[in-house]
Amino acid sequence: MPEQYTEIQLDALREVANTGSGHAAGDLSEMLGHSFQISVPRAVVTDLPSAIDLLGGAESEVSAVGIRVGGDVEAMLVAMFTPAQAANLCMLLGIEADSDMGRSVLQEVGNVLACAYANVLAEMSGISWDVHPPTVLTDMLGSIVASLVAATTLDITNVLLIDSTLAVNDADAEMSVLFVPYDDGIDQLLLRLGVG
Amino acid sequence: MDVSVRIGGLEVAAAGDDVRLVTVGLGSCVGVAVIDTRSGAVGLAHVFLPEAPPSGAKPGAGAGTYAATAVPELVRRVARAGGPQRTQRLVAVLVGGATMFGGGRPGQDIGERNVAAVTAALTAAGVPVVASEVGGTHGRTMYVHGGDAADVRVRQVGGAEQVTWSIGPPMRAGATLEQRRAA
Repeated sequence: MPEQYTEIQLDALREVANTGSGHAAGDLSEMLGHSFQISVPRAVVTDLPSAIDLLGGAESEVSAVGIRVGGDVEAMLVAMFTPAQAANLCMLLGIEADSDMGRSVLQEVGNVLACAYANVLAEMSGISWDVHPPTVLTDMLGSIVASLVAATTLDITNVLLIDSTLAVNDADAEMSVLFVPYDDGIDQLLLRLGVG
Repeated sequence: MDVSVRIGGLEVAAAGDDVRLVTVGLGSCVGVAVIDTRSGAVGLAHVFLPEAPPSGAKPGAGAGTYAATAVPELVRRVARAGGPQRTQRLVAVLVGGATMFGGGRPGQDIGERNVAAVTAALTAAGVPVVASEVGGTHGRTMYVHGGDAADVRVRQVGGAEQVTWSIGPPMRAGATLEQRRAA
């Protein structure tokens, strides 16, 4: 990975995130019959401890739905929400969060979000990849993000996190999606997007 | 007072410092505590990877980032914190090394590799591992207390602090860990 990404490269990644959020919002609105909207995503390139602080602190509890995409470029896409965000999202959807139905819906929301990103990345970059089944876990944010980065980029400094937030029915029900490419995947991706 | 050890961090406390070293959110990372059971000095490193990549350590990576270099540094600094004229009796406690995402690439179990690398480096330094809570699929937070009531505690999300290791009965001057255990 280069030491710094240019503003043009970050813009390209934000554009991916924007488009991915748009697709995801459309899919979710259709699937769940509520209006999903997207707030402005951020593309953050920073060292790992700072990235975790930005996301809410190492010890904060989050549920994460992770999908691995493989092929020309390998990456992990992870949708994350805190217990409060999960409860809020379920409330807005009229579902009990602490129930099988609630957990199932949250997994599906996370999965749809992550898959929408994967599809948009594939469309925009011409990369073809396979989407693996999701892994779902609830744990400390620091454990999840650090383990994810350790298994992928092997880099404690200069990690790339694309973070976007969703709102449901104009109410504040946020969740974050992280995109963490393996190895030099981000450089491959930037090349394919024409800003390498 | 709590002293936070960030990812890739390494902190040491002398017995009289009255601090607790805390590292939060150990997933595949390994928290390595080295305790001098004679002086009560303790140190804690939050190890991220087994070793630096072939291109070398990343600029800005902390002293605790890579097992291969973190362990010797930790051992050296805990020994030094005990005072120059003392004989040390160092022991280690390992926490973490979980497998958070089961769907990773084969041969990429960083947690397992981190535990192996830390264990090898401790063996090379002649420091025995007296307790460990490693593996599994959950993240952990680790608390290391020094002094004459030294202990290592672990907490998982939604759980209480559990004692993973403790020095046992109050220290007597010159007592070894084995003697303390027997007491």
